[in-house]
Amino acid sequence: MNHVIDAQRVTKRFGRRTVLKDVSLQVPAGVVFALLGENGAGKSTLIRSMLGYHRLNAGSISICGLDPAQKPLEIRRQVGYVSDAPSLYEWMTVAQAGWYASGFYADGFLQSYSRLIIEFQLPHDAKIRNLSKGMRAKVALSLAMAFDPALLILDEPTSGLDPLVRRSFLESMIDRAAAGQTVFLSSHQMHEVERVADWVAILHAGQLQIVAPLEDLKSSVSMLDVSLRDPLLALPADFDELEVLQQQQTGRTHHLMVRGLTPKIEAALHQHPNLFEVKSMRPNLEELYLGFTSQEELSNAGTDAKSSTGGQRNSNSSSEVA
Amino acid sequence: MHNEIQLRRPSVWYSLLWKDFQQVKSSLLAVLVGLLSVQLVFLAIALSSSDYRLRNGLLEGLAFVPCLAPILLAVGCSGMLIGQERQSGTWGWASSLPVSWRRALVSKLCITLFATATVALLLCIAPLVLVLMRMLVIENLWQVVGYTTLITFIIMVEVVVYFYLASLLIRETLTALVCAVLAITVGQLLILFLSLLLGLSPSFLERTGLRRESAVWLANWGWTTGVIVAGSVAMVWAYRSRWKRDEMGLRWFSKAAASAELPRASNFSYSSNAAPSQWQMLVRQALNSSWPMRLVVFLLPLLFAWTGGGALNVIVPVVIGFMGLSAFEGDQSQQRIRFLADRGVDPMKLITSRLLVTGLWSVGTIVVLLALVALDPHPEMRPSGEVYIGNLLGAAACTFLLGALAAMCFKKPVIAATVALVTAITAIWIGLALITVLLADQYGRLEYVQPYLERSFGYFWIAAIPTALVLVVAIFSLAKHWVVRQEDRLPLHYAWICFLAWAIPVLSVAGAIVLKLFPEQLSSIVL
Repeated sequence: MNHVIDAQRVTKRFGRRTVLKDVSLQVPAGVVFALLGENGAGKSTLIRSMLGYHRLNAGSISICGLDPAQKPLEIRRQVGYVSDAPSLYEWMTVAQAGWYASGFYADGFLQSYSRLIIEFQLPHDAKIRNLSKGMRAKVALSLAMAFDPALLILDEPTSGLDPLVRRSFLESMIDRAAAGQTVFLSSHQMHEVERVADWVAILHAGQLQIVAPLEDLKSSVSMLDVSLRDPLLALPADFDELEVLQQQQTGRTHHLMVRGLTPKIEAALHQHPNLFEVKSMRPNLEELYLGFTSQEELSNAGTDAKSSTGGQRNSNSSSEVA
Repeated sequence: MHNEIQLRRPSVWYSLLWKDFQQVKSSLLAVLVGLLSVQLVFLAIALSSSDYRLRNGLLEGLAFVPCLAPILLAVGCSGMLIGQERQSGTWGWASSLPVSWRRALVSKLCITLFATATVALLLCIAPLVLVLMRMLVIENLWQVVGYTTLITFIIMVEVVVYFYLASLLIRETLTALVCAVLAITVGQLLILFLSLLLGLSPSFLERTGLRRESAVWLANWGWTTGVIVAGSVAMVWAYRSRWKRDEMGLRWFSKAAASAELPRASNFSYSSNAAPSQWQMLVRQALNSSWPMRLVVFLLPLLFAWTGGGALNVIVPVVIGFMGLSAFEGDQSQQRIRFLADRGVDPMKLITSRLLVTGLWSVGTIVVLLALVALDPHPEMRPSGEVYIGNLLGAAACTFLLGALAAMCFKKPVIAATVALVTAITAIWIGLALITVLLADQYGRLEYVQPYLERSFGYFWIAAIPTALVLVVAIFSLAKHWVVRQEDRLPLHYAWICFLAWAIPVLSVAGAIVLKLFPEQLSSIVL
């Protein structure tokens, strides 16, 4: 498979603090790939490592077949990047920003930029300093997209955008992916990511928890609510066959996020004498995200389950789920 | 110029040069307008004066102005092209574009060179016209011009290299500028030390058959060139690291910069359990803010203390001016003022706390400096008593307040520093020239009043006190405009205030002369 991004066992430390720990992920071409994670999880560090801004302590990264540390200029010609806090020259007008950036790209940049700022309804003669936060984000996006990059890396791209623009922007990401380009975005907006992302990766405390196509992930994980007749008894043995990602208990009812729930196991649970109510449903992305990042709940689910799931997820990552 | 989207793309070089030129345009204009007005006023006074010595002095001063411009502008360009880019975060975007660090650096250096050369050439027009009209006579003209150009160029290159280097290593522009001055000073002292240590003194070179003057020149400038080359290598390395790895390539300096920009949370932390009062909080924050820069500013003049009392005339006002510039550092550059304004901070308390803390640093600096000079074993190097100290304190108070006013009115620290420097030089030169003209007797001589000014606190009462008063009143009256309304017109206010602060002493002297109060009557009133 042709991978636009191929990161192998990436480790990055700042002083004594390990920000990325043994991260491996592969992103196929022509998909919208969403990187999720809490604040300080290491998303921006991973993105900046992909662009060659950070020297890695261990591991390697290849972007469009190039090593970012060795070929930073070639990477920047092929990758459009919008940082989480894009700082543009405040004294430039919207038109001037595009005109200035066009000097570094091939012909066609200005036409494309011009079309984008009309699409985003940006006033071309307004100074950047007079634009709102959302409008600045639109300018930064226009600049990153105007040269039709093979890979578009967006760090929190929709923060500051109004709902209408956010929706149309995210839909345009789907069009880009359909046209064979790859979009790699980090975001906290779960509902939006869920609508557009083909693949998701969840980064937690510098470690990759999961990398998988979103649909596969959603179909492989289930939310299970079971109520016990006798709460003093343990959960039935059928649960040993499941990979418990998250577990909470309210009174007699256990709320579990599990992987590997087959119709056969579900039927067995329904038949179990100590369980009087068994409900299963497909989780949404937010529930999945919480399931993979809530360490406290995970530890409640039992040390064995945690170690086995963690080990599988870290070592096998994308190929395993794919 | 490019407000409409042009569909023809520029070349890489054109893009870079255009952007860099736009960055330095305001500094270039500030220096050009300031120094051109100095030249014009000098010319006007010289042409209207009948005193031959005064006229000649003014015209020679006018001819010296083009040497000053490249050095001032080199500071401004370094601050705008490196320091300001890093501080505002545009460096991150610029380095994410597909352009090599070499091109980006060469473009910046070209623009710095172009800006300094342009301003120097424009300021050469007036002296050239005077020479052609034979109003200004300079012996060995071409030799003097060649020598001056070479010296100015070498100093300018040294300033550019070290200011670029400091701005690349330290994120805070003002701290970087001060550290660059420190580096240049230490470099020059090192030259002296090394030349003595290695025996490469002028006398050594004389033995090779060179004339005494040539040997001295060669020894000094040879070592300076060595320092420039070493600085250039370090600067290119730092630029490459910053461009390729952005902020994380130079870990140690990133940490130093981070400590200079203390996070807001720590600025507001308080050791006791009781909630601090607004006043305590502001003073604590003022103490924490920019202390590394203030420490460097405090240490810097100590290197000059050995030069004796004479050098203090320049060093003390400049150093204290920098202290003034640091008064609101962080409030502007890190937008802390918005944070404070949103929490309803009292503008008067804010201003007072900032001025109080920087004022204490300034007093400490002056006391240590004067103590060092007073302890000098050579009596001729000591300052000449209380009158000298009084005048010096007066000048220091004015530069301190001018720096603080500039820091308040201009959001970019480097612009504030350049504007304050140009204002101070312009005001001092023009003010002194005008006062001299006003104080000259009917024969155009100064002997009548000069002894009075030198013996008494003349300059202190005439110039320093009214100027300082105007500046203090202005700073406190602008407090609301700055904190609560966050006006964009503060630079305009700055211009008016500076004009008033400069004009009031001049007009008061003129008034005193018209009313025949000066000097006998005035001295009797004042003393």
